[in-house]
Amino acid sequence: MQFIVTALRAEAVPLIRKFGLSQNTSSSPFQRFESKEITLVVSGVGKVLSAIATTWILNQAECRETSSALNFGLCGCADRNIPLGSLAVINKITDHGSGRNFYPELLFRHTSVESSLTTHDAPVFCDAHDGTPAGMADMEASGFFQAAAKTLPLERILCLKLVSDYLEPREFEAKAVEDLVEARVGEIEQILANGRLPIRNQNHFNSLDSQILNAIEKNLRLTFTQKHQMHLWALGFVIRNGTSLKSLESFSTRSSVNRRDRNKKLAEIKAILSQ
Amino acid sequence: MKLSPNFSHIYIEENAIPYKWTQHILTRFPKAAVIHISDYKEVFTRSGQNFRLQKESMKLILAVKKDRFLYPGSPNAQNFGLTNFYYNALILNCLYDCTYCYLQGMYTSGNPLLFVNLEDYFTATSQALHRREDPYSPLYLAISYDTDLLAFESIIPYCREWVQFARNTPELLIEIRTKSANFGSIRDLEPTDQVVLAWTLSPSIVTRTYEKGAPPLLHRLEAAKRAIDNGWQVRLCFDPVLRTENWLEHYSACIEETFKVIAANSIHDVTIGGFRVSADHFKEMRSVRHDSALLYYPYKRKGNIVSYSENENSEINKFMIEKLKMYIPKDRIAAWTSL
Repeated sequence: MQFIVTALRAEAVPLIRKFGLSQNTSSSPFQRFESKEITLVVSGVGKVLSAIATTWILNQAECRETSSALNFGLCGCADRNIPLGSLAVINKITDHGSGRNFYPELLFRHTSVESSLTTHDAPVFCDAHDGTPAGMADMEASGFFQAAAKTLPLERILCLKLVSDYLEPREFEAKAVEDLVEARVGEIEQILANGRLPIRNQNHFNSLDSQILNAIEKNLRLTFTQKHQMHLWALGFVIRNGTSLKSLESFSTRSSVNRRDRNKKLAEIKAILSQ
Repeated sequence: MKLSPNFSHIYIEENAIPYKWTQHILTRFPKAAVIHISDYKEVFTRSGQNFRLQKESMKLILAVKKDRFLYPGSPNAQNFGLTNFYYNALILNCLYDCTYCYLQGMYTSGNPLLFVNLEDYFTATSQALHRREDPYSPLYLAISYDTDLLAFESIIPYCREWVQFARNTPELLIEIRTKSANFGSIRDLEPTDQVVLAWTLSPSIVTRTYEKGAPPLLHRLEAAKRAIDNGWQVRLCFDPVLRTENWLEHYSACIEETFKVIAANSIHDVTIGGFRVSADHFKEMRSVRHDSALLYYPYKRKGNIVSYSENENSEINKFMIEKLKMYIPKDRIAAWTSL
């Protein structure tokens, strides 16, 4: 599942259209739009809301191993050499309040601009009394990133920003935001497609193997440690031999009467799985 | 997924920027995106990294090492009877991706971390030399343990620098252990008997299957031969020996191939040893490489060391010594024995 977190609905609308997402009207407290492969949540403005929405949506994920999270939204930019409307892959996020830095992984190839970004608690402008911010500025990324990194491995977290202004006070109407995003929605789709990742650790046991292991655990009334040991031996056996655990089938039907019997059978299992 | 090429990005600690070696690397990779960091640990030791994916798209991290410029030698490594045995960590991580490598269990990052304050290492080494426990024995310093320094030589010429340093520092003996064929990068240097170049050798099937990115056996042998021909002391390390299918046959062929290329009487010494690793690292190695039959071999744990059983290790040593004795005297073979 690809999760997308945006602050504003206007930032989300072109993505909702592009990916054919439909609103989950029973969703609360955040607006949620979804398809089979993508879930988008509109967090509201600010890093706290972004963190809450990110945690909320990721906690509902069924299969976290294959899930990724994207924070997308508008940002201001101090560098006037970067054209307005550019899409930027963020390589460093600084939380202005705490001074902490976060570094999204940059493993996939892309052709967009790359930049550092500072997340502020309030809108920031070039003439700010504490100096002009370096790089790009937004109000959500640090909250999103910290929350996502609690659940997902780093390579599955991405922060994409669209340069909307040069940190000058400027009013944006929803339609203007939508138009800006609309122009880059194809690029966003491409980046998401390029960033698709393999699963970290595949499950080496087929369903029959899992059934056999579960039955043995039950029949022999294995302790927690013994279960763990047997799983490790079984994993090694499957990886080394490329075969299933059928040779253990007889143990899944024989129950142990006492501790001595259990330990004896476990030793037999170990001997088989050491091959 | 289309991955970015190696070294597309360089993370630089802010206090590392003024160092000569930082500037050297920036010149070497002019197109790399530079990301400034406050402390290398922000990037290198953070949780949630994917070691294996990072090995496919490595980023450089440049930092200043603040302390611990020397570590006492590991009991898992041979000291060749030299009492003042130390190693240092100039670079953490390697350009190669060996299945059995302990680094994947030691670090959460697959990205190479280069310490750029080389002079501080030299100072600390000189101080350690003067304070060494046994003044009648040289300070034996392994400088290529948590990395492959010669493989990095075209990125950062630390081997060259250390060879020059050793030459000017009496009583210092350094070992540069490598799988690289990159001897050409230090070929122009005058050899010195204060440096031992040590090549790790494995049968071709092992290099192909378990030593991703490392040069084939023949290239390593040719590099070692060139070093010998140029007057360097060369150590050959059949270490780790892996008990893979038909290992006796493969290691036998490997030894024969070695001495077809290299004259046995020209080598300094040989080391052998079965696969062994610290138990803490091993656990992590398995979780990083969840698909490796090699790591899921039923090894035995003794103390904090995971290795083959005592019998299996004895068999390895016996077999390797028997084979090697056909070429070199036994007193020039150092074998690791289980503790």
